[in-house]
Amino acid sequence: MKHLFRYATALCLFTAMLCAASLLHAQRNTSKIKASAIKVEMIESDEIHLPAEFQVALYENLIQQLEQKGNSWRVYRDGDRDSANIVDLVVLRSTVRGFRQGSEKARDVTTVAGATSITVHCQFTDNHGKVLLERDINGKVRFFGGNLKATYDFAKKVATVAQQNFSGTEQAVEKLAFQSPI
Amino acid sequence: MLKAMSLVLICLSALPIFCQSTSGYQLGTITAVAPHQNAAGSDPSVASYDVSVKVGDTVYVVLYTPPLDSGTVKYAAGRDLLVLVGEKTITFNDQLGTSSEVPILSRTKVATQSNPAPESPQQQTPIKSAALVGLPGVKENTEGTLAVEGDKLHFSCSKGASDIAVSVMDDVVTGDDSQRVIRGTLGTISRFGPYGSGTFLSLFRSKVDTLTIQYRDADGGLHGVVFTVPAGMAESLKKELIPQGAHTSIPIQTETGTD
Repeated sequence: MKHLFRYATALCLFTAMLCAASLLHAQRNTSKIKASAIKVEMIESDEIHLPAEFQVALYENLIQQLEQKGNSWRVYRDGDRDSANIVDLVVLRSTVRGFRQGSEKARDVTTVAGATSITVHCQFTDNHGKVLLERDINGKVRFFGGNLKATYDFAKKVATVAQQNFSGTEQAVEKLAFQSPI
Repeated sequence: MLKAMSLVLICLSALPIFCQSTSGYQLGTITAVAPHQNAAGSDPSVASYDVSVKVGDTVYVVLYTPPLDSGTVKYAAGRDLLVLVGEKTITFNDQLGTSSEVPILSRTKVATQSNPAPESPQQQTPIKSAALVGLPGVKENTEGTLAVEGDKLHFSCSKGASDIAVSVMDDVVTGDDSQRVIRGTLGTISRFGPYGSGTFLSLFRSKVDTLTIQYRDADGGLHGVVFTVPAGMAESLKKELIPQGAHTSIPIQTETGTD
């Protein structure tokens, strides 16, 4: 009798944990914004002088990382005419808020000085310009690698933010599977 | 007496110089013969020919009307003849020794070994380069060669090649930077060398130029590519791209480095 009571309690606890986990999972899924595609606009740097190679590297790395991490949405480039007809399109606008160009030589020699850092204000909006999410995200290179590695660091962080907040639709997944050459 | 004889002999030896022809006749070659398009109002029964004669490094096109309308001139291409080139006419002697003067319609300079044609941008030698980011079909930091070939910028490496049409380039910007002389896997290993040797090796650096290009694809999508080329080469590449239709936001004269 004593054992039966113990088993019953364990079973109840296990069932409760299962229910809680499934509820939490469902809640997490519903909190994500549906987006079948993300359009990345060219990086703007009106107030801060950003060298052209940094601007292009930020943009290209951003597209590459979003394509790699977000396998359930399609990524469109700035000016792509095909993105005009997509209803749940998310537009990513990035504006440079801070930039400090370090020196690879100083990093190599001192290991404490010469860091390169970029701070970019990222704004995810819908098709009509309504802001869905905005964050200040920075990219850094402290030790090894060229200055442009900071743009890669930034792109990785943005892709993670997008992955946490946006989910692709099934339609987009099917579309991507159809486009895959494998 | 002896002196006078010597003087006479010297004068006699110089005489052939004055006997040589000073007429200016040169050897010419007929390179092409084409029927002349008669102008309105001219007699269509009279057959005339545009004869191209190459003299030195110039090709002259002359209007030749055969006296007997034999038509044999049509087969004269390749024949050599002596010609006297005037300002507006060319004088030549036919096989019977009769001198004829024909009007020059046009004259064109052609490339010869002594006068080579200016090298076109299409024949530019490839520059050692690295595609840092953004080039379709090429991995990041891939080393290869970069060259302007016709109306496109061609990057080739051991694992493939990629082209960007010059006409779709929205912005071409150059900059400068520096990089470690010892790079790649060896460079990474060398960083951990004992007694600060890795740090010492980091001091050896080479200057490089960056060439940043923005262009649009067929759907209007914006792309960006960053190349590194040896110091001083980015500007020359840009100077080749701009006349062929590429655009730039920074004019060549006022551009400054970004490092």
